[in-house]
Amino acid sequence: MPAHPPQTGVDPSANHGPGAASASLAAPLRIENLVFRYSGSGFGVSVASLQLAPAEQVLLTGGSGSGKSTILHLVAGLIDGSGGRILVAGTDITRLSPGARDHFRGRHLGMIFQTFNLLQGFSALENVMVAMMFSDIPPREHRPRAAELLSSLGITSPASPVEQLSVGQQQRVAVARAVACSPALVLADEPTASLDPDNAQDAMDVIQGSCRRVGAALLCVSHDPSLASRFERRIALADLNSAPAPQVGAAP
Amino acid sequence: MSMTDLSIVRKSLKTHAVSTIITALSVAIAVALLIVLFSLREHAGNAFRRGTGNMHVLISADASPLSSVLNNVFYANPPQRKLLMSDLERLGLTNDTEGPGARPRDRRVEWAIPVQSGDSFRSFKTMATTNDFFAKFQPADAVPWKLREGAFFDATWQVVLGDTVARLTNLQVGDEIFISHGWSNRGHAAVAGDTPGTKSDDHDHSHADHDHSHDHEEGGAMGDGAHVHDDHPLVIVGILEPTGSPHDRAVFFPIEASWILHAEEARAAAEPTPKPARIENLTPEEKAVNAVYVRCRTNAIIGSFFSEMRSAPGITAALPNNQIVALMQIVGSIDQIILAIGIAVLISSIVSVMLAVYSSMGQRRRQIAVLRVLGATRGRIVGLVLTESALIATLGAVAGAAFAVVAMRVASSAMLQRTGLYIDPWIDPLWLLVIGVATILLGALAGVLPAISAYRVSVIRSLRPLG
Repeated sequence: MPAHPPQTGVDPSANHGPGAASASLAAPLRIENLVFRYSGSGFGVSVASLQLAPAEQVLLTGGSGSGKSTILHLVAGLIDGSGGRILVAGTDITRLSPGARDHFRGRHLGMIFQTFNLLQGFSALENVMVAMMFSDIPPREHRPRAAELLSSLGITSPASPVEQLSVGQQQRVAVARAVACSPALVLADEPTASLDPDNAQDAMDVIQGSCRRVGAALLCVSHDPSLASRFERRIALADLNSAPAPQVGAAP
Repeated sequence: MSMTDLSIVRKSLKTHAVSTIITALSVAIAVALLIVLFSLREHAGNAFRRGTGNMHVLISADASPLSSVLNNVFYANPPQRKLLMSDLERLGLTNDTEGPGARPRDRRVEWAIPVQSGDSFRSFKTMATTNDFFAKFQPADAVPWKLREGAFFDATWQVVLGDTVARLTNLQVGDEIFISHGWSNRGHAAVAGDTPGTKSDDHDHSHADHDHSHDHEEGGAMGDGAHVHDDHPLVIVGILEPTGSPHDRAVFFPIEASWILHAEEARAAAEPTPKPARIENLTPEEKAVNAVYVRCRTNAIIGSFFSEMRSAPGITAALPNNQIVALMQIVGSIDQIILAIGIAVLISSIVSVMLAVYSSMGQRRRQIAVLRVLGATRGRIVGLVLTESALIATLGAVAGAAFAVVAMRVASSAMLQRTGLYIDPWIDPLWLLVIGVATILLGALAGVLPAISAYRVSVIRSLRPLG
């Protein structure tokens, strides 16, 4: 993968003028003037503008506790900002009710975690099918689609409980689950943090390849510098976030 | 097949299989207890109504109407007080002091059947009576006596066995037995060689409880007041079909035989060389009965007849059905306590459901958080927890219903064997439905607290890397 110089964090394609909404309806992610502040702490997140193009893969870098994961949680609708707009696939999720946001997340967003967060006691196939439960995919298609997806990712025993799979296979199941519903956007939170360098590259191959296959944009946050060369667009959180720097001991 | 909310709940229950089984079992026991209690409560009244059958009024000299019914119909205690046939004549319940069973002189009375029930055969109570007991009295209304084998008695030294007696003793038509005076486990079947002139079938009779040659000698020292009437074997001529009444545990023989047995015993005690008792030479005092089963010609005259009998000196008149209602009211308060205990047990088992589900919440925060990330709303998570809780209760309710069916059969059989009361083992489906639905709803209710806990799960905190 060719190396690219880090970008400033300011989205050059951002258009805040009249007609911007219609121009960016198809954008998998568009953030406008997002503000978030942890209660009891001066620390927060303030993003003036960020936009991802369809199927674009962006690496968001920053040190531990810099607020990378907070941005992912805001985009996923798991926490509420205090101002601004977050448009995912053209829908402003900040204006959705909590329940509607949950529904929306199930249909349009995929998430990959550092610790996979697979459902223990469930098979690989069931883990993927559970994700489809909350989508618009007809139930009769869940099993064949999940089986095909896992097969394409090299999972040869999809009926095995996930705890019996190797770490690498568990990672693949987690990726399969994230892209199972063909989301517009996949959020990856330190996906390689618990892997050795070789496995980390393999994992990123799977993540990026899977997103490309389903046409999903990828916003990956990581403090692992070795991933930089894999992304055409890299954003340093320090450039993106205009909120005050975290205080010592403050919770991110 | 796709995953559904129910398959997620099933997975969760499977993951906590031991806890699920133990909790469901505790619910099952409570449900079974409650179903059995409700059913027993309902059937006990019916069981008591069996036995009094088509009798309208019970006449005796017992201390109270209730003890009269319990002693003379349900064989609760040996009646202590007697009526003489001359008393019955005076009351118009017979028109022939020499012939028990004769048509009553009182025109309001359809039939009056004298009974005497103070003796026993082994542990079974005897009922000395007349043929009318089988011909006119019915143990349950509109349920006449039926013979499984043989015939009703028509001679003095004959005996008819109730169904339970025949089954438990294995005695058959043609066998001979001896009656014990008083209630004891004495009395025995005759065995070839025991008594000259008596015969037995060739099947094996246990007579471990019998030392024939000593019973007479030790008659006064038996400790339980029992005395075996060894001089007069009674031949079994009939075995009754089950009636579901206490009479199934009784041995029936002619009242003349009872009079002779008691007269001989009394005469032997009074004089060294007693005159042998014969039906012809019995004194009026030797012709005693404990009670008379009476049926009036019409329902309309029961009241006046009963009032008249009640006011007669030395007579206790009872309306059996009213006494059973009164008895059920006495039992009712105990019954309510037992029911309250049953409900308390059910509630405690439901609390155990809550504890089981709630304690599993700690381990499941991550699972709940993952489901939330995948798109499950808080409401859906609450639904999953409530479903899980209700499903444990449902498992318990189903198992409890099965336990109850078995328990009712066991309880019914045990009650019949021990008390002669027939408790119908049938469980009203309405009770099953009411208790089942109540259990499932309570189960869902038990899930409310864990569901609130699940509702409050912080997705972000729960998904943090471990360690």
